[in-house]
Amino acid sequence: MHSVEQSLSDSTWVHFTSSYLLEDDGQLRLVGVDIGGTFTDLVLYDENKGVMEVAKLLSRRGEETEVVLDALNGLNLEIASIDRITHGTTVGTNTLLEKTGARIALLTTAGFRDVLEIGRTQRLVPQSLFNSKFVRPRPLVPRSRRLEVKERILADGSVQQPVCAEEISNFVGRLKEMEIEAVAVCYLNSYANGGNERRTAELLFQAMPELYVSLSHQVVPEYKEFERFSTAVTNSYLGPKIREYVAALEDRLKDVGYRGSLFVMASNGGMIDAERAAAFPVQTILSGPAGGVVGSVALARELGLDHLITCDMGGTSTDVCLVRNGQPVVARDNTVGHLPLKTSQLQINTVGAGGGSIAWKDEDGALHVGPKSAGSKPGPACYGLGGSEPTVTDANLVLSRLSRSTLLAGKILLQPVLAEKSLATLAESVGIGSAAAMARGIIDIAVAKMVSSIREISVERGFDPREHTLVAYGGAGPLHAALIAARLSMERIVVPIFPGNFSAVGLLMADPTFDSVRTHFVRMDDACAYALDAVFEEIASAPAAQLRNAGFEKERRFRSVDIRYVGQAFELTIPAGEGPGWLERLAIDFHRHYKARYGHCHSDEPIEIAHLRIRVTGEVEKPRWLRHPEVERTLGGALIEERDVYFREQISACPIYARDQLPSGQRFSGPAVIEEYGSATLVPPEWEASQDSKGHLHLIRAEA
Amino acid sequence: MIESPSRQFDPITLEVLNESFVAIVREMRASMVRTAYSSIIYEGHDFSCVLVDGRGQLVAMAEDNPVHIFPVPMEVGEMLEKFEADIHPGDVFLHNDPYTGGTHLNDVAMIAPLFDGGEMTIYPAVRAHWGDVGGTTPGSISGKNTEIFHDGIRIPVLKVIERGDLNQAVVDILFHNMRVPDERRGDFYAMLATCHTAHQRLRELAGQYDWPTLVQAKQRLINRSETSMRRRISGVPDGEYVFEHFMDHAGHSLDPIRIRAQMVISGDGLRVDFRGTDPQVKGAYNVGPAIAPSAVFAVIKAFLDPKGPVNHGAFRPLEIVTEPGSLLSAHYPASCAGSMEVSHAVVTALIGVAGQIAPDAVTGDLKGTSNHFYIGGNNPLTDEAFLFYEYPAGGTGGFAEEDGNNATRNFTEGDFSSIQSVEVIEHAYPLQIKSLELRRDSGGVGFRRGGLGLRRIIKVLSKNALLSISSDKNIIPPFGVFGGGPGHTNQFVVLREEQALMPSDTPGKVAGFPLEWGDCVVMETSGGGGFGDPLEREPVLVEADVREGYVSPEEARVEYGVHLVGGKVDKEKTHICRQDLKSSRLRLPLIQVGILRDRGSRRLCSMNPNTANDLGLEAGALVELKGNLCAPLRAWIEVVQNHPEGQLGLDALGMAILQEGTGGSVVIRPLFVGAFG
Repeated sequence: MHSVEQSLSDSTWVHFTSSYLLEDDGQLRLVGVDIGGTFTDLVLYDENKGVMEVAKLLSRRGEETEVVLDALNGLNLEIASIDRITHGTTVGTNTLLEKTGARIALLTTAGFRDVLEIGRTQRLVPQSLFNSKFVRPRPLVPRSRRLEVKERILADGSVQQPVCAEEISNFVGRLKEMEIEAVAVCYLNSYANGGNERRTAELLFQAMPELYVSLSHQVVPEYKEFERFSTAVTNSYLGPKIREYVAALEDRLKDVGYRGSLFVMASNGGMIDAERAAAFPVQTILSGPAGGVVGSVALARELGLDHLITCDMGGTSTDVCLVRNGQPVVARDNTVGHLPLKTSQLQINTVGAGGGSIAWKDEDGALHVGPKSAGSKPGPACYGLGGSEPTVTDANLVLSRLSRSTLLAGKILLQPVLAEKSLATLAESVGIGSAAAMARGIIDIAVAKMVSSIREISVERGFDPREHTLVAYGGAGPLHAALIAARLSMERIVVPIFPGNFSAVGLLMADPTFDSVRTHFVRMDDACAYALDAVFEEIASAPAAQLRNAGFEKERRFRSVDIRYVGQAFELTIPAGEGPGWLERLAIDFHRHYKARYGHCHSDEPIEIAHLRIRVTGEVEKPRWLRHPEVERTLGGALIEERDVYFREQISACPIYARDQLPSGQRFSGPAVIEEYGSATLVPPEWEASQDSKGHLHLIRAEA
Repeated sequence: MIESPSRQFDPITLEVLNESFVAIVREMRASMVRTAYSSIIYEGHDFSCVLVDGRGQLVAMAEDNPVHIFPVPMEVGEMLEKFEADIHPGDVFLHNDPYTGGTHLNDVAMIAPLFDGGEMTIYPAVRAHWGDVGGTTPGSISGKNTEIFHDGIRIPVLKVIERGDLNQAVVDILFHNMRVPDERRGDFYAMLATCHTAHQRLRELAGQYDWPTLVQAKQRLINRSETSMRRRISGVPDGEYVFEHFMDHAGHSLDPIRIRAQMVISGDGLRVDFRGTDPQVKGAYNVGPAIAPSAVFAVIKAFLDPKGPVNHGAFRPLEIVTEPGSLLSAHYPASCAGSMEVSHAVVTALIGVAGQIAPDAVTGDLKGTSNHFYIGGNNPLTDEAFLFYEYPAGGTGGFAEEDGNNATRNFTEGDFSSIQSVEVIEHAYPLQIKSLELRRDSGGVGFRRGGLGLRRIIKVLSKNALLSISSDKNIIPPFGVFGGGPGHTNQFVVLREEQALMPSDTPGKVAGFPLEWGDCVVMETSGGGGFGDPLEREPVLVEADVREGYVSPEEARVEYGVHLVGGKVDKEKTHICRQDLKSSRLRLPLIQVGILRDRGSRRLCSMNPNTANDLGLEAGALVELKGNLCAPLRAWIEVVQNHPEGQLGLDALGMAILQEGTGGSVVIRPLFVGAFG
């Protein structure tokens, strides 16, 4: 037992050279590194060698920089020749969920230090109704470190009371005394005039040049103080750690010869430069899962698909996201760890069911799957590392959907006997006849949860899942995709190349993206297109400079406007065009969008503008590849074995194929299992599968 | 009756169908938000969706407002009784009548039976708060209503759609009697669309499994919840418990309103009998028969079985008795506009009585009201009318493990946002918020402290604005439990040129108080009740409370007996101080006296004039009496000349509530030393 654990923890380098031939024989070398809680995935796109390669390493908490270097060293190439490294990280999310951020203080308007704690009096935690012992999550900064500043900006931006330099310098002593590492400056109405916040920052920097400071109007230039303050405080809470982390990574990369820039995946689906990530770490909260969605969007473009549902099923959870017309849906009112975060984020829904999720029976006899996960230690029962509770992975192994000769991290042989034992124990306690029936049940329940989660982002928002293609990745995604799709009557599935590393692949596709917004109230009747154009121009200057700063000359701008009926408190974001008549078209579009979303509109009611938004993007060179054409492949040649696999109540003799040996363009019917490093795709009897010339796997429901 | 467990049913199908039923309810909710016209629905989420079975038993709900959901079975019962065999595919019913299962008239229920399984098996119901249903004032709710006609138009259960055909006459009459009829019509069609969505999803589900499977699953889920609840009730010893809670008043005098709850546990069943509660009041603070059971359920569920799924099974072991003609089962023509306040009061009464059977689960008392708060007038900047409406939350009660939450929606309420953003208010209304803070010391003291209420100071920048409030626990505060202290009351004061004005002579009930430009309205919400003896709170927690500013150094010393030097606990002084405080508590021996006649519903306790004088209490003073039970008994001092000195007289019922008799003793804590009002 001990030796196995040993080998897990010192497992460092798994290296697979793919058979992908690159379309261009250029010199481009790109690297994507995705650091997750359990694994660090790396992908190299190398036109010089003409290959794409992936690698998977165990993550080491606190030693992320070293893991990245280990991965790069294993690539066996000159680091100086890498053109771009894009990095996805869960450091921010973990810091927030584990509450290991900086010791921070808040400077806020006198009379309002409790805004952060009172919020809008909501619990903001699901399943809290009827819980008389509910404990509301505490703010990241305790009350005694929330300092009140005598200043006041009014709603129209006028200064009722300026900041007094003497008062701020008096606070400096207290900040030092309290050993504060970072400060958030959050004043009321700073969205309308950030002058007092900026002045405060100047005064703080004069006295404490090393201090990490977030200004609420810079983190979120929008109204609604609770969400803005909470986001700015979170930014400061993450700031010192992320700043240090990014700087260390940059330095080490430079040490080993990397000459390019380090980019970080942002929650909005674009990448940002390291400097910006350090200044606005709150924008990296979804850095991990965003990569896969961006990769899916690129895939959709390549395959000519408009509407997708992405499904990234990992060890502990499953992330789903809706893509409409090639654009992932973006949300602005988010919560992380039950704290509001008002940043642009891909609208990714997470459900606590993944391959490692544990199945269990509660005291009323009801069966559950997750949210508790066996993680990588002790892992599912079949790992033989001491786990005894049955997991989704154990269920798949017992049904022979996973190969009994699967090697975990290339080293550990899965043990079906242990999986069976764990399932049989649970089966007996809930009165189910066999381990196999139990296994099907566990998978049914896990699938039902994912189906619910997908319904939330599709049906419940007025989108029919049948219009969408399911893009399945993550280690466990391709194994469950057809089961999920069938429950939603979806007919098409794509399993992209390297599904187990697809989030890292997606990092290569991310364009530099910088957002800016300004709260700007004006009734449509009083609005003037030229005046609004001028405001747009103004708010575009910062993101445009950021883009240039990140090394990109060419830019594209996307304008949008948040609009509502007068008297409403929430807005719809409507894309805004340019040139003559854009404002008139905008008003028409608003009514149209409103009707599409809510089933009715009031075209004669007055409407008003609340926010102007601009997104400035650059464009990176993206990888292009083909499968190796000269190799003659046949379906028979791809056959690894035939084995008995459970589908529904039946056992079918089922061909098992090696994905990298599959011929291109040849359709074959289920049942089949397609195996590859890091994942396996299940093709149930009603489905047909084929692999395209780029290596993506397509599943189509046969009766469709 | 529990179905024989021998019948095999695949437990996995059961879990998948359970998930599916709840998913249908969630989709109904999403449909309402997407299609409703009133902002109180699509922004305030003041609506609820549910699936019921042929007998009106709840099959599935989401995290909706309990007070919306639990009356549904009674309404379905009314529908079944009234229409019997005359219910057909395509029929849709409307209802809002409080006397037959509704809440307040604004909450309109739609019930849409589905016959696809051959008979009515599983079908949807929706209840939504319509912004206006006619009546005296815009919005229909006012604390000063005195009869149901002031509340709006009353809809007995009726068919609004018959076999798929809309009854235009019904719809016309309804919308002709409501303000902003277009919006009402929009909400009506949103509810209809939501019911249709549920029908479609149920049909799809039946297509995958067939109706008998759905029906069987439904039944097993209900049975499972029943078994779960019964098992928990069985774990409680049999016995009888009684408690009285007093609401401040009904808005027209200062006489309190009595709610009496007697709980009987017998085996795996639980009965709550509200007989002895005051007759219906001439004011807005009455409810129909559906409200008390909802409030009872919320507390019992939370105290005994908080994690179990919510469906009808959990109700079955509970029997609720209310007396017709009492304010908990009011008759025509009583106004029910203040139904939420009554609902909160029943929750408080239940905490008092159920805390005795579930001492590990109990919490200090809650804010006891919705705190409806309106400022209406003219906006000088836009020259348009404005109406600012909030219903601010207070602190929640402390419990064995943790302090209460500061200014947070409580465990019996849906998770709506109860206050607006300061910046939204300052942008949209002629109002400036001077501060939004927690009220230091407002949480009830205790081993675990009650959560703090909030204080908001609102400066009015409009001439001729009017202030209206409907609130309770402005006089009688939320109680602490097991020796914990009360939270501070809800309070509403107007500051005018540095003078504090009471906006009405009936605290908490304000109808149209005229505000002047520059007035500052101080809105303060209650703290939660404390849990346990404050002298047993770990001194280091008191130190932290003082450091964080939740508790003042004075309160730390006077109530917690904690001495701080340079912000740190002085152990020795604290020890002495705590001993002194403990020995100086006002403990009086009890003596049972004959029936003390009520003074306007007040529970009286009697004492000799000299004793009263020694204790600094006047006749009519409000005190709380703490025995060994969970919650304190509130009583008013009756001074009796020939009373034995140094003893406190209580009549038989008073003794029964405290489970004490002559020879026992109680600790007295004065709430108002003088007579109030």
